[in-house]
Amino acid sequence: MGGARRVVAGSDVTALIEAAGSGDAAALQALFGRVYAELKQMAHHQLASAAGHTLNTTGLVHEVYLKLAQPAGHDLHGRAHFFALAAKAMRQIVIDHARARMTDKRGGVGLQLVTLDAAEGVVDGELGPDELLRLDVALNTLASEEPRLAELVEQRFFAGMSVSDIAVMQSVSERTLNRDWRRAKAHLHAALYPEG
Amino acid sequence: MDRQRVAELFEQAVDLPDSERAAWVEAACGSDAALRIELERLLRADARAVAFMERPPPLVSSLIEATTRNNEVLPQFGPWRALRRIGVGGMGEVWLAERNDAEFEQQAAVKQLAWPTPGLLQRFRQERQILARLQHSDIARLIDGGVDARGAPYLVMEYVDGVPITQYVNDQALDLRSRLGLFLRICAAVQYAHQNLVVHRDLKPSNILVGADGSLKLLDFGIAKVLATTDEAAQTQTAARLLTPDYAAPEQFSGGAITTTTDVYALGVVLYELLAGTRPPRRTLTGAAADIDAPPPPSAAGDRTGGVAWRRALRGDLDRIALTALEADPQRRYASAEALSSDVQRYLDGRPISARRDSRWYRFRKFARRNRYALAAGVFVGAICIAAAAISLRQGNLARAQARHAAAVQQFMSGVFAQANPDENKGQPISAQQLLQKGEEQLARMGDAQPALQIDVTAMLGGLYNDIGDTERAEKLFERALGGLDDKLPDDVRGRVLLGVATLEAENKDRYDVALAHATEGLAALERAAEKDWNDIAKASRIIALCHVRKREPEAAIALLQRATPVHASMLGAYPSEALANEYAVLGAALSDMSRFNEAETAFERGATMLRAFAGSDSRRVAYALNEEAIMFYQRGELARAETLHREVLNINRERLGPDNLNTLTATSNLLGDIEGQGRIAEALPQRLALLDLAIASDALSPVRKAHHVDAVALDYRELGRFGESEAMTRKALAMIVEAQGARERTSVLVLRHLGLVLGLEGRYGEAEALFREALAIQLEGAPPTSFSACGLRRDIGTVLAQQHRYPEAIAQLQALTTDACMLGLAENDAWRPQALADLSQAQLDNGDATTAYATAQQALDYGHKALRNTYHLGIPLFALARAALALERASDAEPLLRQALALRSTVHPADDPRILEVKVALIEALAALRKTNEAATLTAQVVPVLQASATPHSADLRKRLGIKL
Repeated sequence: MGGARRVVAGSDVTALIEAAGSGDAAALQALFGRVYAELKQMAHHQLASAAGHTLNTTGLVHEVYLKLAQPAGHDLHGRAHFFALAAKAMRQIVIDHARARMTDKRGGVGLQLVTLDAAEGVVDGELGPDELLRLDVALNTLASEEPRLAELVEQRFFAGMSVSDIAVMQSVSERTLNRDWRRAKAHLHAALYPEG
Repeated sequence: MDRQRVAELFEQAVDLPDSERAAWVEAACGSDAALRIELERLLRADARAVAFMERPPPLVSSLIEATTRNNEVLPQFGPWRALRRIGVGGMGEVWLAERNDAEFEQQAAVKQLAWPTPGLLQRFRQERQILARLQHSDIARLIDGGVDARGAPYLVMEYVDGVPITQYVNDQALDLRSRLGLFLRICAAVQYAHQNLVVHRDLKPSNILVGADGSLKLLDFGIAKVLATTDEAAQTQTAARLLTPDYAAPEQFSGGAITTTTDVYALGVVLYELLAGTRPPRRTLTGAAADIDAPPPPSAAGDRTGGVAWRRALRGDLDRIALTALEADPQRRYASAEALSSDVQRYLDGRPISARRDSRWYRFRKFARRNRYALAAGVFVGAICIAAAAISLRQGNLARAQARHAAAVQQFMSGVFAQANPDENKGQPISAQQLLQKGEEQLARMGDAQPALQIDVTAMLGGLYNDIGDTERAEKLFERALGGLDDKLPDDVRGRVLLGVATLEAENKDRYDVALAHATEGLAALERAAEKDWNDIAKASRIIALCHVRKREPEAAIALLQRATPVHASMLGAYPSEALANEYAVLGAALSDMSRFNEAETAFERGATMLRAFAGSDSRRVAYALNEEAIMFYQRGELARAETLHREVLNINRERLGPDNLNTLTATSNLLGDIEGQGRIAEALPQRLALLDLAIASDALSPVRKAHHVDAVALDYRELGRFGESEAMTRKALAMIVEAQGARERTSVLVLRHLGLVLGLEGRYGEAEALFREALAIQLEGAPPTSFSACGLRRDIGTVLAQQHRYPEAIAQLQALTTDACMLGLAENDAWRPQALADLSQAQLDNGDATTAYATAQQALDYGHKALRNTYHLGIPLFALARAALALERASDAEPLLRQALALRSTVHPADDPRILEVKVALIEALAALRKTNEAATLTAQVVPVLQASATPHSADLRKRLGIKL
């Protein structure tokens, strides 16, 4: 026999999603833990096996969703909650790694940034680890004043979801989301790069 | 600073072309420097942030680094060092770990609990002692546990290298007897744990591992209890959300006690899987146990590769053993793991088993359910009742039988009458009447043999009549039921009756004091009952809270619900319940009444989410919660959000109940109120007219309510400057009310006021004043002078006095409002206050005191910004302040105020409206003072012809200001 012990994940997550959707805080946290662990593992997996070091963050979140939940019969609401949560988990992962890089003496400056999409040219506007950490703080502040805006940032930026996806899942118009996105960016940019 | 305002302005500003933006910002922010600074800061950031965050974060590079350097930090758990990750567990990652010290060379599985939850550590410590005592070769030991750096607990358990039992038996292609042999070992281990007072709670194949050498290990005993997250006594926790629903027993979902029979159920599922090769199909597990269908027996389930012979072996005893273990009612299951394994052993030995044959009750129950809808005839009701009674008597256990009987009848009748609910029938209640009539006939036939049952059914019928809107018959039935209440009645029946009565009184009759008394008594009875129905308890709490809210005692409602709702939530389990959702809706309303808006919104969202999940997003019950939320937004002045919600409510009602239904009409009216409140009067008017047609034609509306619809149209006309039509409609509305109720009724006060307002706009001040005074007199007959309507009328009187140039009297009237209780305790965003202050300011100004007028107007505008935002009503304080500024020769201050007032008012009023003309005239004065003569002249040319054509005193005043002689 041998082989590592594999825990079957599936139907219990469905119940967690439903409960989390009903506002059950404990279920939400449990779900977060699962998603977080799963995302990390999958990200590693993808990178280790992919030939060209590309990582599609949206695809990642979708994969985790398919793996953890039984999508059949899932109403939009359950999915929306799941993706919102996955976005939070992705944010956590990114920030954790940014923090790790900051404290690592060997890392240092001058690391080549890898493009995510081979077709694109120079990557401009990518955020370094210290900026990411400041973004994290600014995002927390934004969340305390306008939680929906903060969630939108998590889903668009950290989870890489498209506006149309988010619009469908939350039953909001794309126009509203685009306006919110613009406003959120303004707030965060102002916080990250204050004048003076 | 108002964040919302910043947001609104930002969104408008970014759409403007660059050249216009700066000026627009100036105008929009006016004198609010803080607002302008913030807005400009954001706009500058926006300009720089075009590419910002448009590319995903550099996750890739970080993770590549981590993997290539192989440097991911492996966690440490006390003396245990993680070696590698072996999977994802219930709440976090699972690691293979070994001890640091040289002494022990032991490997263990460390299970991380990702997030500490309240009470977790406490429970964990309590359980550790007990769990550590479990020493059985077939049970994986709990070795240790602790708390990591983040404060999250972890568990160290014996590491088991194996596969889930269901996989093992397939991989090894074990035959039937071998499978059963393994199963007996599992039962023995579970029995051992039970004897040590440990219930597993989460048994499933992935927790039953078999190693290569055939060794068996059960994992995670008792962990579920530690992870359960409620504060309730351990026995009745509902940790359903953390379990695997396929293996969890029904009582784990509905808040029943968790005992050893819960594990028996899980064993039953495992046995089923070992026999049939698949899990039993997922069932609806909520509701009464009698309602839950039995699964197909293992012999009939799936397609076994074992073939025909295998299935034949299962048929009969093994089927029965599995099904008995899977009984929805815990009392009908095997009482212990040992009882279950004994029967399996008997089968293996070829001896007869102890499990009962398919009982008559079981078959009967199945039959009743399948034929539910054939009962329209009513005949079947009787047949079922008799049959049920007969069976119960035969079983010889009268008390339980009675309960079962009542439950069966109720369940049954409710099922029939479910068709009566408009949701199911698209708003056609006709069949419901017939059904309910049959029900009443059946009730009469029941006689007085079982008084408890009789009263119960009477109350139930009353509730159903209430549901379809026949409140009269409902009331009669409830009266009868109340009359029959005596001490001999069981508590649950008593509670149900009182709850039904209270619901009728609170929701349909507005008799809140009586309802409160009944509901409180009912709740007490329900809580005394031996078998508590938490759904009913939730309903009773909600009615009590609702009464408090309607009686303007929101604190009492909040106190009750904040204490009670979490209890109900944990009792009702993870599955959404309508009663619970409605509790949240009432809680939201109460919080909103106390201006605790963030909390209110949270409560509403919870309720609405739960209702959507429960009833599907197009149910009118969702509409109830959404409407409460919309009202909150309306009262906060966030009309755009209220509009969105009200629109949703309307769509739901229109879809479900039809366009003519009373609820649909009300929903339309609410929505139009939001639209009108945002100043889109022209948009609202045609819809108001259409609504009026429907209202007049409706049989469900009283004449007074129809009159209010007429009045609403009149309001639109008035704001659009169509005074003649407005006056005509208002008089019509008044006539309708007088005809229905007589002249001096409180309901006419509002319409009298409106008539006065339109007459005032037409310049007929004397008549207007008379109407206001009459209305006030009627109002004072039943309410104090500081009631909201009285304050409003006193202001109207003051204003019309000022319009007649009787300034000292006007000031006396208006000033009094600021000193007595009219302005005390108003919410920050109250819309009336800035307008009243503005009127006072103008009276002071016209009386000659410009300085005081300026101060008053400044105050008015400050309140106005909070309450009136960018609606056209803001024009009132703007205009007042501008006039005062002009009088103090501060034309440069007056000009922007007037421009803003003009812009705002022009969105609603036509160009020749007195409310527009007065602003223009003031603007002319300002422009002249600033020597902007060209623009002044253009404006004058616009205004003069209109003024000359008008005969109202107001126009005469304006002409005088311009220095024009007629």
